[in-house]
Amino acid sequence: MTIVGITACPTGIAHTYMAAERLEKAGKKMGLRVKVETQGAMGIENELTAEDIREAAAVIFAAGIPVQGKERFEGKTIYEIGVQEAIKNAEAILLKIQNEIGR
Amino acid sequence: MAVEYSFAFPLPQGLHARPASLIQETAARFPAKVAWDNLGNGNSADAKSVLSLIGTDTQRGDPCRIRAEGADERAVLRALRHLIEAELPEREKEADAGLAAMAGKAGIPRILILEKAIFFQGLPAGRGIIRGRVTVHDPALEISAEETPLSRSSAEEKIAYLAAATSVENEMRRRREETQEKTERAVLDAHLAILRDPAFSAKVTALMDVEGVSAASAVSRASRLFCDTLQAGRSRYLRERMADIRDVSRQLLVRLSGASAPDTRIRLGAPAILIAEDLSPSQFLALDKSLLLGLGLETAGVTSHALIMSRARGIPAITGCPGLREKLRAGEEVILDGSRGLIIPAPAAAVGRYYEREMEAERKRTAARRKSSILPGRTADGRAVEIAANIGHPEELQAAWNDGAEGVGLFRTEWLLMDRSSPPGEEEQYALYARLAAEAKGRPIIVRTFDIGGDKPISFLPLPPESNPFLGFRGIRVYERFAGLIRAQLRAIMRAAAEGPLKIMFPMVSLPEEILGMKELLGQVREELAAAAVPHRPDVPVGMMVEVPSAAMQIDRFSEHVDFFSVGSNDLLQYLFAADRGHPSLPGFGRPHHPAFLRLLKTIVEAAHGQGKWIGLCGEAAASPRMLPLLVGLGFDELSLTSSAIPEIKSRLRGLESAACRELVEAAVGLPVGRDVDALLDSFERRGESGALITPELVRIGSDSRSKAEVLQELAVMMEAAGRVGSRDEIEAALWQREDTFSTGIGFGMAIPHGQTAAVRSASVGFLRFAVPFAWDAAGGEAVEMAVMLVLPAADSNRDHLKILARLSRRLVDEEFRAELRAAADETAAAEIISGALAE
Repeated sequence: MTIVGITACPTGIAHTYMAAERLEKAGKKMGLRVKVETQGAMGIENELTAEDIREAAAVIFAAGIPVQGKERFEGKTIYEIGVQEAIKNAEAILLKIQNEIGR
Repeated sequence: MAVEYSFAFPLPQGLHARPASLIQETAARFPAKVAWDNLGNGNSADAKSVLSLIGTDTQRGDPCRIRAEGADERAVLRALRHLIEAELPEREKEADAGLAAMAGKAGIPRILILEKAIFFQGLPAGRGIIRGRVTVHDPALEISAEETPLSRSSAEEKIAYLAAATSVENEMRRRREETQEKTERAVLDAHLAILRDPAFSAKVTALMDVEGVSAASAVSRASRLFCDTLQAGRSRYLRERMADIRDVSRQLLVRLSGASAPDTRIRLGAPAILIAEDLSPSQFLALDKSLLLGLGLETAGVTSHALIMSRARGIPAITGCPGLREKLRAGEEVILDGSRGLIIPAPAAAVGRYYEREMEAERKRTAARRKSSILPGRTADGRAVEIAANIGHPEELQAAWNDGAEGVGLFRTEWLLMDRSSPPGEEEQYALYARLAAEAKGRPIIVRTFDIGGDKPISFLPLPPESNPFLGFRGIRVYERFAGLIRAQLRAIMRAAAEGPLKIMFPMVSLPEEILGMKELLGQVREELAAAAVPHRPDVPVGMMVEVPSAAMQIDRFSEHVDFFSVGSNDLLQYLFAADRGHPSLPGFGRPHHPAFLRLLKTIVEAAHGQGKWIGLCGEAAASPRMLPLLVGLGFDELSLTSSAIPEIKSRLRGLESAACRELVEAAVGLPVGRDVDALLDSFERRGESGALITPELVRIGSDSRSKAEVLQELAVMMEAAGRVGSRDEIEAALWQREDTFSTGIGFGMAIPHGQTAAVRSASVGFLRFAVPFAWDAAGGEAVEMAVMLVLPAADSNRDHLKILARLSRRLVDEEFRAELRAAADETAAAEIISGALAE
């Protein structure tokens, strides 16, 4: 199963990358494919492609500010969480998504 | 038939002056008698008296009852009920929002807001922080029963009081009619309310009746009595109301005493922070300075003589803080923050701790300054550049020597002409210059002759106002008309120069004829002194300011007549660009590193050195660390600046190679626009920087910080001590600003305070490991054991730095990495672990 996400925060130098790291690591541990686009001080990195999004079973927005390019995710199941939440409870979040999607 | 309304008091700050005034106003609109009972503590009050309401000491949650009796009793109860339940809580929220808005400003430590501290803000008027008890100098209020013997009958005293009260009231009403200003009106309204407050006049009358004291004494005692009641409260508003009571009392006392003849001598019985309206130089001189801890003044100018003198002695001071005498009570303990212009009465424990740490940082800062102040003015490769001080008043001289001045490059003499009705004579000036010569102990002092013009009115010199004084009759141009004045000054300097290394410098020179005229006058003075056998130095060195472009283009001509030059960079800059430096619409003009200005400076220095003449520069540019490599590269022999900047300029000078500075100038003068010079200076400043984001001085293992406020303070102080930040207050404010959006406590026992601000010189990482873990946020939650700080300069477009910080952030969520940090033995080890993560 593939889950994609976007992380962002006000200054874009810390939380953005911590949250991305945590989600990716937790996914790896749980045997999920997790790809996270970071929208930080360096701009957009590891950008999600149309294909990434098409294949994704769910989308996570972990941001303290509005995310860019929301329109790319129309029709998808989106989980909006705080960026701190992603850092603190990445595994629990992925587990919850896994259960809810029912696969 | 009375009606009642019972409730629990809703306001978090208790019944203080502002809600009390609203309750009083509402009650007063109705004829019914209204009583306020605090059932919790048994206090009762007349709801039509603000003072009496405040006196009930009602706190949040206290069970209260309002009783109304008489006509409209139901209506008044309804109105009060609406006020208390609906209006007051709303109004309090607005007031709190006002306080919160202050929190964003740099310069007000956040701890004061967090602790809801009462503090008063004025202007910084003397660096340093001091904690101590206050002595309030307030001659009018010192009237007491003992001092004013009762010479009239009690009935006469009462009439005198009524007359004084009426007179004060009429005066207030008149002023209220006249003013359009909203806040002034509000103040006058508050004062009128006190004057007419039934509790106040009842107290005064009772004191006269029962104790048989004079009206003045009764007013004085009533004032003290009410203030003591208010003092018991801890809110800012009560303090303001105290100020109002004392102000009104003072006005009554002045009228009752007919004329006030205050004793102007101030005596300190014990070490104290002196609070006064203003301080005359003679009052300051008469003070026992061994007991003077600090100064809090209401109206004194920052550059008043008393404050110049106190700064020279390193006494912390603030001024421009109206009402201080009333807001502070004699003997009460305060913290005076002279660096930020704050005074904090009755500091809470957390505020006291914060300031203890500030004082420690200040001690270290002073020690570091002392270390660089004793350095000789030399570049890394040993080229001497004399670092001298600009002095506006002789009292500043001692501070300049303490700051490490190697001479005085500009001793201004205009202050000799201010605040007097006749010009200073030769003997007066001689005595002063001779004192300078003696105190100089061999260091050169350049005395600039009077620099006067239409923009600096002097009572005894008829200089008509001009439409454009900066292009008019000023400086050396006025000397022919005021020949007596300049002759006395030149005689005095030439005589004093026999006793020490004084030099003469003329201001605002634009034509060689002007210098020739002065040389002729000097020749006459020399002959007169020789003829009269008065000791003098006939060959006193004579120089001129270069501040007019026409002078700049004739250095070779002037060199035939003068011994030295000093560029007045402020004026030269504005005459070159034909733009006022402070003009709000012309911010891009008049920047000293513009290629046009650098080219002109280069022409001037090369011409002067070509003629074998010494050349210095005095002006704001000399105090700018950014300009320093350019001024060194241009080849100035001396830089003269405000003395407080000397230690930093000296220590920066030690880091410059003169050859690199010359190359920098060559590159800068060839650039097409000022912005390019900015970029060039940026890269020059970064040269030789180790590029290290973290060093052991940015790490502390076993930090004693116990709260977020203390952590951000500690990090800001560390950054300052490591020379990585321009203003330590600004970085602290930037970290708070980020913290305000949402907390940087990320869990796992970690917090990552971070921010981006122009105050930061280079991207930096800091690390603290706490001796005792504590809750990062007031709301509680998990304890933090460590904090990692990440900061970037505002304009850091360096993607490498951003990448490195992103990488570090990713590592911080890794438990193994955190375990390494938790186990690091010392500062060096922790810095290495973090450097390692940055370098991966």
